[in-house]
Amino acid sequence: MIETPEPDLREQAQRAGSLSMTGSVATRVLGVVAIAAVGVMALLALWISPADAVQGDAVRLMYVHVPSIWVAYGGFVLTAFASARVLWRTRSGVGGTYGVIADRQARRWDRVAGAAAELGVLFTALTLVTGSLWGKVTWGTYWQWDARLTTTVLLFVTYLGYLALRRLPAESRARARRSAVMALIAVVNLPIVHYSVDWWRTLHQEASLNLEPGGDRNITGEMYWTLLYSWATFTVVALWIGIHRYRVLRLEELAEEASLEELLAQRRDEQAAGR
Amino acid sequence: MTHAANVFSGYVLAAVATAAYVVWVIRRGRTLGRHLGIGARGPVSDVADESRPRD
Repeated sequence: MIETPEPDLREQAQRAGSLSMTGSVATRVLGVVAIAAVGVMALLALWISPADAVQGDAVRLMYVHVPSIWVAYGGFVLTAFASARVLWRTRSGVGGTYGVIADRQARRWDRVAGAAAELGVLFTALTLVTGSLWGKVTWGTYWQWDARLTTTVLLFVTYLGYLALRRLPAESRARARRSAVMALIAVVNLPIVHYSVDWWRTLHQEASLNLEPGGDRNITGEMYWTLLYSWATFTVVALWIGIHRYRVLRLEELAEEASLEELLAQRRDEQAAGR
Repeated sequence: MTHAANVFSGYVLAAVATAAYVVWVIRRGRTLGRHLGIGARGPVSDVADESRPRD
């Protein structure tokens, strides 16, 4: 198997003329596009899109609330996919049983899983907060332990646990594998969250967009296009941050390896002095 | 709270939380780069240059 070398982070940051260690031409372009897209989204969502006949201006929270959870779903699905790849590439007999991950692809997938999960947690938190504000004006309460809200909180807490697990000190291979197993367990909750409004009687409304073939659209016109545009904007923003976070995870690995090397060198010096 | 206030709070909270996360990620990258001596240009690469052995 041919493995491509890891990109030189310093080289890519310098090429982009970026002061950020994790910057590159791609992230600079994405950053500009993301910020411009957010500006247009604010314009569409707050001014151009009409107020709802029943909910009034409160409906404008939908353009943050719904894309947030869609992007979070995407992050968690990507975490699960990357985790499956990690497990496959570090399976028994491949790259040893203990110690660091020898396989570069496995390390990359592990970073993808970590970065995507963190973004998923951020956007789930945004979903919960904006949903709560929306609930106050439409339901008269910030919180209700109904099926959708409860399963979403469970999703949030589970992935917080996943992020905590990733931070527990261990050899990189063991850490990557156990995190991957947890990610594959945690993702089971995703369809439960999504279909909770269909499976149980809930205060929460049904899905904003009916994606079933031939199904009725719950939203049309300017609201529909603004919602889709907001989702695209959130995706670009998530991609932009995700690339930076992936590179920071690479730097964290390098820092960990450097401190390990330093400790080993110290130990060698001590042994040599003791002789 | 009025509808407008809730909408405003939601947008501001989302913007502030996302911006804070972006700043944290980029600053963490810079700090680690400086620590490793592989920083980008500017003050970060000054540190990196000084940390390299000159032969």
